[in-house]
Amino acid sequence: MGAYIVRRVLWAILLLLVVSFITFVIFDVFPSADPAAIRAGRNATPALVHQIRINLGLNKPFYTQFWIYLKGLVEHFNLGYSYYNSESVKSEIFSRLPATISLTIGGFIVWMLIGIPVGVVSAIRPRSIFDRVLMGGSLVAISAPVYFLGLVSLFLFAKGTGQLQWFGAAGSYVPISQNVGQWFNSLILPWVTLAAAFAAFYARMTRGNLIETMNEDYIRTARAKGLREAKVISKHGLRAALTPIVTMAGMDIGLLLGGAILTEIVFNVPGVGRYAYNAITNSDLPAIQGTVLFGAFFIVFANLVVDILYAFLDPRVTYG
Amino acid sequence: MSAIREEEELHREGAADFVQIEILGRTPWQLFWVRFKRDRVAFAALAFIVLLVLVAIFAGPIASAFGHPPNAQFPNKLDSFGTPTGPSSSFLFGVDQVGRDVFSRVLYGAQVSLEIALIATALSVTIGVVLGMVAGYFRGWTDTVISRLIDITLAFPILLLALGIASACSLGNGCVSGLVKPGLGTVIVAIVIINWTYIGRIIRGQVLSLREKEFIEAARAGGARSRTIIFREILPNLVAPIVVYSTLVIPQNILLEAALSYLGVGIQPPRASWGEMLAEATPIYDTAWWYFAFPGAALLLTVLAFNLLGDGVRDALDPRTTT
Amino acid sequence: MKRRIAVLGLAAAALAFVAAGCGGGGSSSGVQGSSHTLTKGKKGGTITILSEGDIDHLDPGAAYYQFTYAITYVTQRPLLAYKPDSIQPTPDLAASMPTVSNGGKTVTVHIQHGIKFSPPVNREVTSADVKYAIERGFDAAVGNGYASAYFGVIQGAPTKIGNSVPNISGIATPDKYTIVFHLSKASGIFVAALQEPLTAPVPKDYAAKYDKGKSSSYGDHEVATGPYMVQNNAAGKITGYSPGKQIVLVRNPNWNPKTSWRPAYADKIVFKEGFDPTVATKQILSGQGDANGDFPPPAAQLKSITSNSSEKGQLEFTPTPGSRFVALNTQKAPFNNKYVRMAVAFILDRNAMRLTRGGPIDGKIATHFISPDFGKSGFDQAGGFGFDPFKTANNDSGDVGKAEAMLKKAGFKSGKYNGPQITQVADNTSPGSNTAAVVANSLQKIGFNVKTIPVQHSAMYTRFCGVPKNAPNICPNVGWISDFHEPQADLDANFNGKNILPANNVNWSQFNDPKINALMTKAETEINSEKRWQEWGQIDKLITSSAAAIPWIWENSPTLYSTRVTHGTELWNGGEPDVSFMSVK
Repeated sequence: MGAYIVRRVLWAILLLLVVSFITFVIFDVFPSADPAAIRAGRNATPALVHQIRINLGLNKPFYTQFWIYLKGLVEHFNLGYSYYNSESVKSEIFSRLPATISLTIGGFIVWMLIGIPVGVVSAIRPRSIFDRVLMGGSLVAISAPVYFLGLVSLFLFAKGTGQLQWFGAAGSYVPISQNVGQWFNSLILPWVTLAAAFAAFYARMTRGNLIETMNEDYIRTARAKGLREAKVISKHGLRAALTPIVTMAGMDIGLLLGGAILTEIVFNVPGVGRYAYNAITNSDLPAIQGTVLFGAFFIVFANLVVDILYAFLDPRVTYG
Repeated sequence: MSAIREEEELHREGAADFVQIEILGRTPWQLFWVRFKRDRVAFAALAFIVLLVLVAIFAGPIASAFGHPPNAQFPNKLDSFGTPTGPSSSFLFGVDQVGRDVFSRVLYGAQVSLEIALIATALSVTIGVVLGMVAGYFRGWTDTVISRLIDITLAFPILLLALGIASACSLGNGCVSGLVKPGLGTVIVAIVIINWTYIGRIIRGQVLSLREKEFIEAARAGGARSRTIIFREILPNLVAPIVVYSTLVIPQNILLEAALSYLGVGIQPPRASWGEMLAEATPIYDTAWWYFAFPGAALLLTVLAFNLLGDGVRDALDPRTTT
Repeated sequence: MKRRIAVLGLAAAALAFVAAGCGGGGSSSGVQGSSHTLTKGKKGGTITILSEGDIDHLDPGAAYYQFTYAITYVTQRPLLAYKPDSIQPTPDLAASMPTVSNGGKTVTVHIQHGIKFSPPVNREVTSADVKYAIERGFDAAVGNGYASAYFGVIQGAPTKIGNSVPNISGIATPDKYTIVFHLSKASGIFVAALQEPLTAPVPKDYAAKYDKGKSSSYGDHEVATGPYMVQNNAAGKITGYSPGKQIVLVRNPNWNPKTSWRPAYADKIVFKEGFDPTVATKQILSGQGDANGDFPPPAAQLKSITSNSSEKGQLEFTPTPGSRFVALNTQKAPFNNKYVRMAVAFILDRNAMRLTRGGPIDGKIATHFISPDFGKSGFDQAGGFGFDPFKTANNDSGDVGKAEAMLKKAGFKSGKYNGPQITQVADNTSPGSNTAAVVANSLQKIGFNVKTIPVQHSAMYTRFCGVPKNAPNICPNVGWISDFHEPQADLDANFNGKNILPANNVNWSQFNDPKINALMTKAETEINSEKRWQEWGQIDKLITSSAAAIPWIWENSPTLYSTRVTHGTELWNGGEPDVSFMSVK
């Protein structure tokens, strides 16, 4: 078991290395704009652009640049400095983390609070009108792109620009430390928009799992013992049906972070996702690297945790 | 987030459901068709898709009958502040910021979405199936390489990866010394690089369990070559899952194309793409609702139709997941 | 998402944003941002400016973006500066206007006594601090983008840029309050260039340690000389700036109002960043913010504000000293033929192009390059509003007949272009993408088949339009804002053949006409301003008539003030509010 865990952890680290290498190749070998020229400004002489190129290390072969980057990362946990404004990428990411965490944790709560109850309600009366409407609705939510859903919700509900001026508009985010009420209000629409597809997906899964579980023998036994249906569902059905779903949800938090990018862009939430997008539009390689690694870290870490948990919980997993 | 994930989950448990139907049922495709026809929702979705295909094919004639050419500009349909005007009898869906007919552009946008649906899906399914079969059948280092490739791809924040590939290839003559041209080609490459992995992983799992079946063992014992076994014995047994996953990958591909176009690295102008229209509409969503509402609704309905179709196909192929 | 991309202006010289025009309170030629109200302001209070993106650099030696200048000019004191209502530079750190002698080759400036740096430096500013400030502009670690263009004429200015602050022999400091510039040749714009932030003093004894290495960190520790300073701690570390979020300015305790013409009413100024323009505009109207920083209120809101009698008065328009134009690649077929270019000039629907940026409120349709804002210093000499060589009868909406006549002269017998497809590289976001769509549509009317390649704004400049070997036939989204009110700063970089560079090129048309080059070289050294403006006016006419690039708008920038603001005025070059002149109730 110990050896298995060590192997998984080593693989996760290797995975992150490969991810950052590929990112380096994509964005450094095919950069979309010239960072040295951007940094030097429109009126700069070739001599200045040349020296800035050297200062940014852009004249070195890309493997050397990658090596320097890796060394900084491993030795000092240094993610480098933005080509564009020389700010430390690490501190830029950390300063935007509260917004992204606010968005994703809130989104996760909304997703669970909507997804699981809807799934349970649907599963209790499969094929009823109720079930059909909920499942139909969830399929619509799965099919709707975040940016369209975001625009519709802004158009309908945003203060200032919406038809019903209920919730905070795009760009109204304030840190929780500053004003809790305003923070909450500004994030309602982003939370719901971000959570919609996840919630719908989990509703469908919960429903499927619960229906399957309710057909198991032990449930029949429980019913035969004369337990009330509500008790059968809550005590026996849900527990079995939800365990895999909760495990999976843990894994999906990593995905949620990725999904936060579009939400942050649409709602102008000053988080890591928007930072990543701006970095790409500015060809700011250190910032791109930092944010891709950040996203990959969560995905890989979540997978690692789930793998290890599985190893503990499920005797069928072989540590091969 | 996708229905694909849902499928994966279902198959983590009962890996070879499809295979069983195939083996047990005497006329599986007839059974399929009977079941599918009974599913009115899926049937309606299919009808919608057929309609959409017709719209895409006949976008030209429809646009000239009910609207205007997609790239014709009517600056007189903008007010003196450049704000577009909304739906009217001659511009059913209003106009955009340079006075183009949104109705016609939504029609033409269907072409892009369907081209992506067709080409990117065909490519990602082909690559995914071939690599998945090879990995599952040969196991060993081949499997290790392919599986790790999949792991690596899936470790990326997908959207950032696609955005990176697409913006790298969106410049000048494209990338890989001009092999991947900007526009549709680039978008397709970005999508395929990511989406083959889902199918590859599932097919690999299916093959892993299939290769232990008696009839495969028998073929191997009979001295059949690997290639023959893979394509003659295994592939036919994978038709059902391939069909199901193809219908489930289609909406994902359409959404990814729209997202890339939305972020400005998709289809080249002046071609209309729903994602690009949504992007252009975003800054003025509060004053020109028609500009985001119609392309957005078209996108939503199309993706929904493919999702419903996928559901219907899956249910009809595999009654056990039907509820 | 289109609108929220921080515009990488990074250059006062690149039109980073836009806006409105001759409607509203637009000031006429020569008058910069008319005062909001003329009542005297009230001391005290906090001003909040809302903006979409961030500044580029706090360091006055690196700052080069209009929005940044809104902070630079109230925290730093260059030798000269523009008062809000003047196009003539006025002494700021200097005690009087520079004296020019020796046939324009010697420029002497006396600086004021008793001006002190903000804490923690606290000492008096001397001429050596100005010398060091300019010298560090030639250090790649600082990364100043214009030092060579305007100060390279100083004797001993390095042509090779390294990572150290050079000693420039041509800058002499005979005493603590005198600085003398010895130029290698006369320069018509040197005095005007002294209002660039690069001439704001930097204390070497304090800054040298931050200027070491590959990237100067002086910006994170900068000291101020102006009425305000970016909030810092006792050690001098800046605490009032969180990139992308906010910048806090507080009073500079060492600023002496007697030495400055800035009233500096407010006690504190907060620049809040990361706003959605629509939301920020609403917040200003409702009093949650006091003025817009780096973005113009969206066209739809300008429409509602200008039609609302109570809100109309809150809006001010500032003409920008520059123009937007469509650059045609004069080195490649088909636009190496003057008549084909002229056909383009006649066919472009400049009216529809302007609608993509908000219509008439955004500005007048440009008929040549030097904008009305220059007034008597070049605009009038270029023929003013009367010079319109590509006039069409239909309100600038393109004239097929006249364009076809030009194509016939170019040898296209049918009057339609029938050569190969041509390419334009355009912004991938609106409004630039929309402007490009109009250009393509206009050209189609005379037979062109235009392929549009949409790219990010920064890539458009740094990979395509600014790199001659990759340059497309058309760059539809370029523009230029002059760094100061001298027509040379408006025309030379964009159209002088000697400025065609293999990379980072801004002569986007790659225009290289020996006769016009010679005229420009002569005009550059003319120190008599009347003669100089006359010459540049003529040059403008020649360039415009050659149709190397087709100017299409002289923009105005709208500034929206909250009702709390009783006194407001805008910076001369971009319409950002000049916070040192703003006061709140």
